[in-house]
Amino acid sequence: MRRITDGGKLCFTEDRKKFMINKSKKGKRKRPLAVTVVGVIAMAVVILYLALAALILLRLGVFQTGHIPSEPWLEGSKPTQLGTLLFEAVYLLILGVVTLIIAINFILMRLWAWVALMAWTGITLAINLMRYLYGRPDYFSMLLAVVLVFAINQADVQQVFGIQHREEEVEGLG
Amino acid sequence: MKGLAERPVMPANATDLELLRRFEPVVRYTKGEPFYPIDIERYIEECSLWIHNPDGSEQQLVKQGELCVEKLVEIREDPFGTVQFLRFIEPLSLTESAQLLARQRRHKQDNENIFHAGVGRLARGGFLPRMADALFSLTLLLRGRVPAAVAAAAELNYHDLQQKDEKYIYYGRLVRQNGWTALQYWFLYAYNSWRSGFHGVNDHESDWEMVSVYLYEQDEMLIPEWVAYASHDFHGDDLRRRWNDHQQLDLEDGHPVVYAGAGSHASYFQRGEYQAEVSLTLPKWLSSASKAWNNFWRNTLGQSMRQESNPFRIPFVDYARGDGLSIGPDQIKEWSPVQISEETPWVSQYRGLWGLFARDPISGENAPAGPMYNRDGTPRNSWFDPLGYAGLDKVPPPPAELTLLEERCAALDQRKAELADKISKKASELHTMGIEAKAMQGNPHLAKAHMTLEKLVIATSDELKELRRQQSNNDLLLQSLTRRLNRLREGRQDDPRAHIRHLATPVSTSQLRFNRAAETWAAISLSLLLFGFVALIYFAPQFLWGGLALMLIVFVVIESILRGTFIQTVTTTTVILAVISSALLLIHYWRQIIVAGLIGMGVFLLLQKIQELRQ
Repeated sequence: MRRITDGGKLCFTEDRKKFMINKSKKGKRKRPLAVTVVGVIAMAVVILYLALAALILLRLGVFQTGHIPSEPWLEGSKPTQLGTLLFEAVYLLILGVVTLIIAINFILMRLWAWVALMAWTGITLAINLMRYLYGRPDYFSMLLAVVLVFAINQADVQQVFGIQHREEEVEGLG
Repeated sequence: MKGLAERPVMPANATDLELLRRFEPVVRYTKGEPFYPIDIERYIEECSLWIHNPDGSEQQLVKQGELCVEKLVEIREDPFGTVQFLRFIEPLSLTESAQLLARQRRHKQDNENIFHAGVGRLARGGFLPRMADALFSLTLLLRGRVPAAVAAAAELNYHDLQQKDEKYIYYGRLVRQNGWTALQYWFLYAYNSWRSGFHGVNDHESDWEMVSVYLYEQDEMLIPEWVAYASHDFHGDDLRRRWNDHQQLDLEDGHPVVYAGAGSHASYFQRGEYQAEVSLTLPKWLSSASKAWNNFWRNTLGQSMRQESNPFRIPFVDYARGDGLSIGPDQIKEWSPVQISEETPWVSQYRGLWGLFARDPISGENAPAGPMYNRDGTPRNSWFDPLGYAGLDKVPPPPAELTLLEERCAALDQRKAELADKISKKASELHTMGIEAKAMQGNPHLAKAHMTLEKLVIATSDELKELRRQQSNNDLLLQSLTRRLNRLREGRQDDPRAHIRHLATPVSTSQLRFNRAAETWAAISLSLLLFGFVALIYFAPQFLWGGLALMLIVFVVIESILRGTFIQTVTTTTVILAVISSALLLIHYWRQIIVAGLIGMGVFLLLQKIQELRQ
């Protein structure tokens, strides 16, 4: 595959260009079933993260009083119970928002969302394998990640995201 | 024939030496090359002669300074497994080695003949090939190898010889075979410094290289048609280029131009940097496992795979830049030719190695044998079969091709007529049998005769079918031969590269030049990984394996970002992790998986049958 460079910057190959032209000509690409299913699962995860965050905040009475309790978050260098719960809530909120952004863009079939989801799943699998090695396996999370990887790696899914074209693009780098 | 007017020609009755001189090559070297073709007399005078006995011992037969061609070719009766070899550089002490290396550095600087590899060599291979590269370097400690100081001593020694009497020699040989006149140009170099001087695969004392020019005769003139250069990893047809293929073959005043690889002296048709690959010899089980994994990856998982992703191949670069000394007609230095043949004693009677036998089991560091023999003493293909060596044994000289084609077309025409006649007769026979068989029907007393006739009909029908198949093949072949004959009569030549299956092409600059960050990372990453591993052992042994895995992942991700292969690396890594996780899930939940599979199959079949019932 011939790479086209523009002033040293890597540009699209001719195939990739064709793919982009076809994409714009056709307007809407048909969304494979796997993309919809994965998108829905990702949305469910978003709801789960946000619901958990909301539950924590509810437990802390944030919704009832409209403000965070005025107790200390830290006791020396260690977090208090309130600090731990707040940290968890913020962590879950951030996670939920990030997952939401990825999920929406994945359903819209944007390449970066595919890469982000793949990397995310890769990290999840790596953590799961580490947990397995240290005797604390989480088989459900492992199974979910495995299903996700094989679902988004199907040829038709890769094609609608333009992944196969991208791989050809880097051929010749050795 | 088009293009003939611009080719240099020589009368068919010219002497062998005149022919050799008329088509002798111009060889262009890379800046930094320390060795050029030398004559065997001076080289032998500098050598001692040794034998390596089957029990592993070595014995000096003739001392350095006392060796000459007559002594070299003396017949010696040695037991099986004995290796005769020359030694250009005598064993060196540690002090001598240090002094020689220092002198070599000064010598290079004084002569301003310094090689610069340029950015890119290290980053050309991925992480795994670099690990293999490191292993390959380590194997040099275990395998026999030529010490670095030997290269320095050889360079200085060769320089001194040239200072006394500057000469650039080739050994020319002329062979006439099957209508072709093959001119072979053999070059002896005192040393191959590819590894020590140019980051290549190997070093060895002495190096024999060869270039061939093939001529055919027409109207009592000899005309060049093909040129073949010996090169790494290429054989047969891939070695040769047609004289008028100007995109592939550089000519200078009717002389083919050779770009010699720095240190390796391999010959190339075009100037540039060539990526040579060395495949590590793997145990059979590992090779099979690798094949099975590739199959699983591509066919089962449906993942794409780049051809060059074999981690067991180590990339090396052969620099054939042609920016150094140029030797040949009207160049800075000119050739002094010497003619050789089987009658030349040192060619046919010395079967040993022309330099140090380094005891390298894979032979990379052992010196080569002479023009006529392989390292094991068997005859060298390029010497006894100069046409077959370049895939020319099946190619007739152009004037003969026309005649051969005409003869073949006439033969096929005759065959066509014969087949038509036979087919007509057989078809007629079959008709008669058909009529008879039809007439026999309804006559029970002819049942036996009918059965026999039926068998005969089947057999004749088969024969007719076979004749028609032959006729079809004959017609197709005749058509293609006639087309080719007409094309040749019109003077139209074939695609000059139609015979080439693997074309040696220099790697383009954009593929060669990675940025400085990638190059630096490539240089330090492996060592960093090892240091990190040691740090884990000492400071956090409880996280050894997890930490190592994490470190590997981080290194691979950095590498992929620098090499522009991030998406592919993320995909590959994640799929591998998913495969491992699947295996673990299978081990722990195989019963449940089988049950789920069976239930799934049952549901699927049930739905299918219900659908069938509804239809």
